[in-house]
Amino acid sequence: MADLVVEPILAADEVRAEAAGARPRRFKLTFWLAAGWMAAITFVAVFANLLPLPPPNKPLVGPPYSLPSWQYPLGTDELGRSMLSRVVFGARVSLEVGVAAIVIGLLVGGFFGLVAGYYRGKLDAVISAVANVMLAFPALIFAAALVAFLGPSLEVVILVIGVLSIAPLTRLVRATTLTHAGREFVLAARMMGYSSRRILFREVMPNVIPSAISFALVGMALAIVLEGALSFLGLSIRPPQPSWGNMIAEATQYLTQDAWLVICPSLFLFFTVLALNLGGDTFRAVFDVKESAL
Amino acid sequence: MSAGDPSPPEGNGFDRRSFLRLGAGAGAALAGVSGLAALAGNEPAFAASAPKHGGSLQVATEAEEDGFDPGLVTWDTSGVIYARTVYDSLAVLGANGSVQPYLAQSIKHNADYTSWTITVRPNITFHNGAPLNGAALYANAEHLVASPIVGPALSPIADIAVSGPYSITFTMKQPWVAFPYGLTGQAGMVAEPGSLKNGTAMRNPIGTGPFVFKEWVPGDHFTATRNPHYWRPGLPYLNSITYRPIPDIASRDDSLKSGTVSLLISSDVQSIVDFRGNSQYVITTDLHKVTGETDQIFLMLNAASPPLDDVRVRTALAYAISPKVINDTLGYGIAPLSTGPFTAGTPLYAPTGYPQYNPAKAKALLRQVAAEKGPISFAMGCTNVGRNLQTMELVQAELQSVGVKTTINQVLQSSYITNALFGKYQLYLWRQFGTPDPDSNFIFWSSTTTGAIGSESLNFARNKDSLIDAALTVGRENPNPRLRIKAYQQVARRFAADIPYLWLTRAVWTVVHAQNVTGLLNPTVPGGTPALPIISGVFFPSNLSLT
Amino acid sequence: MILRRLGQLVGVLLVVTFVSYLLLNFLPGNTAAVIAGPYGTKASIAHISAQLHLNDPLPVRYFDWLRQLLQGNLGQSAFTHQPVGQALAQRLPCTLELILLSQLIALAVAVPLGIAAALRPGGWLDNVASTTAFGLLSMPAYVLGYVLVIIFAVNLHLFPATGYVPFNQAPLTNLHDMVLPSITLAVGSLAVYLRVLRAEMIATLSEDYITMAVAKGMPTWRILTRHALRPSTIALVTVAALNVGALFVGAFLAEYIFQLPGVGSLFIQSIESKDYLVIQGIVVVVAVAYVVLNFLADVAQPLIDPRLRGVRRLG
Repeated sequence: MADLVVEPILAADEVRAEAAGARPRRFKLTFWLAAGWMAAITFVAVFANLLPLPPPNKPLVGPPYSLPSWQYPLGTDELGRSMLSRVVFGARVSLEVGVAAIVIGLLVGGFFGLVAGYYRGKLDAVISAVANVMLAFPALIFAAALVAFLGPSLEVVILVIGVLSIAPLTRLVRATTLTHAGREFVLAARMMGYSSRRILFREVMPNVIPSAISFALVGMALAIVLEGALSFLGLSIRPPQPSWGNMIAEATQYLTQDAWLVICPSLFLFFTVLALNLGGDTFRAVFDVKESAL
Repeated sequence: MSAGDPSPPEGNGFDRRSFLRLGAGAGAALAGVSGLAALAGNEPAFAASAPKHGGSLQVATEAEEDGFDPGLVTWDTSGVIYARTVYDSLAVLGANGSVQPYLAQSIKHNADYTSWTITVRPNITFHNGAPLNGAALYANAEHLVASPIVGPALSPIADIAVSGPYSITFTMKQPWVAFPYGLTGQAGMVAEPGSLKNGTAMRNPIGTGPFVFKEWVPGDHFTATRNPHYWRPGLPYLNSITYRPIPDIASRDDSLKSGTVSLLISSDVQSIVDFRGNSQYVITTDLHKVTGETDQIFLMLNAASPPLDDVRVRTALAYAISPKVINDTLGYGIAPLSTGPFTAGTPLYAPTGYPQYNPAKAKALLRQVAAEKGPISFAMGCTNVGRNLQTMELVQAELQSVGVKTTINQVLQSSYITNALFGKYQLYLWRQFGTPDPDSNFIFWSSTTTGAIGSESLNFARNKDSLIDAALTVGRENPNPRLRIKAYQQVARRFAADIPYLWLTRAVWTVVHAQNVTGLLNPTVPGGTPALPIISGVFFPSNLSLT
Repeated sequence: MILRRLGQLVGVLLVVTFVSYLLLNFLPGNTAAVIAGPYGTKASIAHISAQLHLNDPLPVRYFDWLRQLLQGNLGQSAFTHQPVGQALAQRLPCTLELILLSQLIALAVAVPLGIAAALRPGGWLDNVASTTAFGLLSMPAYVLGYVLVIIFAVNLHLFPATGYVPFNQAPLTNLHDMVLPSITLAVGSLAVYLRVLRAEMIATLSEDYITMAVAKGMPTWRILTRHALRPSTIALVTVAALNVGALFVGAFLAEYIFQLPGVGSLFIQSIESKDYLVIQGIVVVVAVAYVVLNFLADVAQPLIDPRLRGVRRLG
């Protein structure tokens, strides 16, 4: 999750950079393309069972190693299974993990981050210390070790990645909260006698949310990559159930025969991660620019 | 511990640790290989004069081992290659498949095969200077008999005694005709007694072999350097040899193509496909001719575990699975299909009556059983290696189409054999039974080595058949070759009736090397008799040279 | 102040090692039996149980384990019985070399590109560089590695897909073998460094003192190296320290893909073979290294940037 923690530095720098005249970013075409991709992926993942696709695990639907064609839109793999079906069901796994992990991260991490950033003091010290410790482990290594010890399964993977997302999100939300908690409107609200809790949830939080969303999108991308890595190492959902990571892992054996089997899930993974990164980046650029203009 | 073994397309269950290596105390699976490069376009360049001395050879093997003590681990092909590098075996196979003394000077038996005496050559020392003598032999034999891993295969031994300065004598509980075949593999490797005693043999092997152990980084490489005092004059030719275990077949083939290694061994037909027609490399394979018996690849059933304890279910499974579809889809259709423990073309082979693919018959049988016992479902397992998983996925689909529901568990290599041993499985993808002499498989087929689920059973399938037992005893005790052949053919027929194993294909071993490697195909035993050059991928490191 | 920091460091290290130690407790069933693995005999299980004091209460176990850790005893592999410390020592040079080479490549590309992009923000070079960086960040190592193998090893035969000789044996072959893995690892860092450096440089270049230097007639390259690069280096160091975690991860995956005999491939092999003590040993070593490196980066920051001395770092 190093990238997530790098964001505040980038954010601060980019604001200065933009102020210095670097080209500002708005909701460009690339953003809409990214949004479109995510919408499409989400749609097929959610409705996978209703789509007119051959079962993803059924072998010899067509001749093995078929290239993409009208009949087999993404071709077939080494057992003649439909790549399109497998990629779609693999999308399901990736999105399940990504969404679940980020929801856990946002709810738990966001909550602690808000509290730490607003109330400061001892509470902040404790929360930050815990977050720092959790951040002290490189994610994949700790995740792989945990999953190995607990026993690999999709549920364990979701849990582990979710727990690992808490700390970076805590830190990020805390940093954003700190920025906003010092603003005039908060001081004003305090002087007017509103309770801390009300200020926190009604004044500060709504301002933190856009940043949180941008972190969440990037975090989701990271979660998907992390799940892919765990799948790749055989620590996630078990074949024959497809996930993008385990599809890549299985296909590396057939690299010289049919590189498409590696490239296809890799492309889907790449574009999904790219789309999420773009989304998060755009969100941050748009909303931060707006904020600094206030 | 490495990531595991790649496999022939149908997959192997446990290759690295296959107990088959232990039969009759034998080490490596000993099946033969045709002596010549079998594929057009891959003929070896004409070997001109005497081999050159010098050079350092890099070899890619299939898997890493856990150590080098012949009594403490089970060796697969890769392990026996390590062993042949730093140790010598008491005997090797001759080119015609018979046992030839190697480190031993003579291997003699009494009239009724109840006593065997091994005399080792004089004036040979281990790499650390200790002498090779009767006491050293005794220490090795004692170590093996006491070993929980190798011991069971040596159960007919009643007593061992030093019978001369360079000899020991084994007294058997029963006539044991095929005993010397075991001395050509793991159980015949002679280690320096001190290293066995103080436990250093595992990581620091000391033997009499052509190369002296230099270093071992587990999972990465094993290096040994020329033994200047090797007892065979003129050998070895190489200055050093390094083995790199590369389980992934694509990486292994690639390492040869890129020049990282100059020779590789492979039990995956992918290597044949990757290199055929490429004149820069020489392919040697046992695809067309086998000496002895080669490994079979099959689905092993636990006949003690319901619903597989019902022979109708097992028979139905045999009807439901098409080895041809699996072999064509995953193995390019290259490996010959199998219908029993013996390979077509070998003297032991005969038609067995094993059920041929017939889904209608499968469904009929299953309907019968389901009416009494309800729907059939069970768990299947394989290792996380090569195309094993894909093989199981195809099997799963075929079984599903006749109404049998299965789950696939991918099991760690390290647990695989233990699970089979204790019966903690129902159906496992497996590879076994390759050997120069079928008596090695006694412990795997006999009901005397069968235990209930939860206790040890070398007869992994837990198939008890008194007809098989009788035939195995004939094979062990009767020296008449014709009667032995008939006995083992009876065993094969019983397998087709009991169906503890669902046969798929036989294993195909391939050695591929660059043109500048020579000496693979012309090793000799002391005295000049040609030795069998390659046995399940195991070659003679002492005879290799670089031009 | 530095004492307080050191105190924090020790605190974090204690917690980190404790959590690593806790991993063992997640094992289902009889811990000693599971660790002993399939070759475990009653004797070896009892031995492990005694060695790890598995019957003692948790704090006692932990401190004993910690004490052994400080003495360098991390246990041994259940399969090869090789001491974990020894295995790590054997494999560390390879991993370190991989990380070093990759960072060199990343910096060698990111610094000039970042500067060039910053000089003309919004220009075509900037756009291409930023987009590429962004794209590269979205490419996981296990995808990129195989893409490189397909292109450069399988098709072009320029570099080997696997293989490694130690540097001191054959330096040129070693470097040749390390090209593809280093690039795979460098890409992630490169993208991050590029983005940070670019943003930092743009921001710094807009500062008043730069305008002053330009007005004074200082040549561009001198402005860049003497005035602009130094503050940008701070952000780079911070990011590099934060990136170490991702580096370890990337290194582990690259080692697996290219079959290099480093700590990472040992880790992955141990996960596959459930060699728990080795897994735990590596987790501890990596976590401790990570914490210490972060601490050093923290401490180094004020040293590089005088502006930060005496000021609490935000976040």
